[in-house]
Amino acid sequence: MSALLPIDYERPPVVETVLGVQFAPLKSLTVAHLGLFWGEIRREYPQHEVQPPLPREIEEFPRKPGGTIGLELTSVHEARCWFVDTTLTQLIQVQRDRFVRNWRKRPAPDDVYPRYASLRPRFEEDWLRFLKFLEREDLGRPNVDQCEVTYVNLIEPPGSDWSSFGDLDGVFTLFRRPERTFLPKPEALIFNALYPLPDRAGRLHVSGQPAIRRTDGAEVLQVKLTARGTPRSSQLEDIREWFDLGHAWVVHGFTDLATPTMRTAWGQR
Amino acid sequence: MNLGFAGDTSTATLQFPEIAATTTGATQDLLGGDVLIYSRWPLDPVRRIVILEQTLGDNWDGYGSGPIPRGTANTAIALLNDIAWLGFEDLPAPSIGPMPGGGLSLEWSVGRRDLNLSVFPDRSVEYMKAEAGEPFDEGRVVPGFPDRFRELISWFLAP
Repeated sequence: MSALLPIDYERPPVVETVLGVQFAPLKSLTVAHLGLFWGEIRREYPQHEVQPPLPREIEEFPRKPGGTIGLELTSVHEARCWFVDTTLTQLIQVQRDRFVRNWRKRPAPDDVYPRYASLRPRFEEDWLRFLKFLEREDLGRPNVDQCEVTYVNLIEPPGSDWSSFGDLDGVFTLFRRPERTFLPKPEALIFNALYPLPDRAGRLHVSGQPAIRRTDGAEVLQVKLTARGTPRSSQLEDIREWFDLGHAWVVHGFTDLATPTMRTAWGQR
Repeated sequence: MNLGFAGDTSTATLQFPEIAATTTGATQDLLGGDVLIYSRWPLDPVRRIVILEQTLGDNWDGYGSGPIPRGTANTAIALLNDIAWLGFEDLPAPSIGPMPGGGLSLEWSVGRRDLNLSVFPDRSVEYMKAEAGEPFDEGRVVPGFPDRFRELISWFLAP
């Protein structure tokens, strides 16, 4: 993947990013320990919330057929904690088998995407802090089985609004107007696509769906790209290498899917 | 989830006191809370809910009511999605209004019939049926269980 040329956008439509790792559950890690960990980072992340845990996800090859809905019964003692910083742009999520770091866009002055080059080191800093905490509390060392890079983009329609939710052919190359004219415009276009990463390193999941933007009620298209897969080991350099691969696939995948008009509008360079 | 920005996940999540049911694939929460739309029908009422949530401040009614909590807004949006999935082609979009105390009201009126769903800040939902302006039936409904909604809407749309 080192042959991939970097792609950058001056005005990327990204509104949220996620860098995360999943590991074999640390049986001794309880909600009380998560509280102890919060004590260590509370100055930077003063707000917290307790959430139900995220389900385990593993990219398998070949992909296992499965239903679309999974019911996961969890004990109340299984929890995920959110730790949020003072700008409300940075979030750490921790549970027995996850460590995840989110950034999200906020109104100015926190509306500038800080770039992957600064987000990854911040993940590493917090992850190392978490590892030290686990070691000090004798809770075990995480055996990382999945890494994940997610970018969420909110795309505004070219006109004042989506005249119908089917107007995507000008935005993404996946959609072409049919040559015949039997079908009307679709009432809505909701899409999911999966792309394998090289050497079974994981998959890129792409999904798109109309949405209402929370901050102003505007009609937008939410496009989410998630690269997920298995790092070579739990060592930081291997996690870093996988993040770089996942990030490259998210950015190049997005660029492949976007029409030249939209890429120009976002300031591709 | 009540940090102001931290909305319930955009992906469907049902929460019960001791059980969490999540859709697989929802491997991370999205903080923005942007509302995914599956059809045009709920578009305008969802937008109205989002705008009310974002714009109503403290004491918006002059009687000390607070803003609409994110959880109330999300419950109302989930109700709309539940109802949209039922596929009643003749059902108009409801009127959406704020209620004192941080609730939201979803109201349909056709001819002599009125149907009202009230969403409260504790996320409970109550319905009220009225005919010729006279309420005659009310009770609780639970989001995520569409059969009761089907009954209510069938009554409302019946000739």
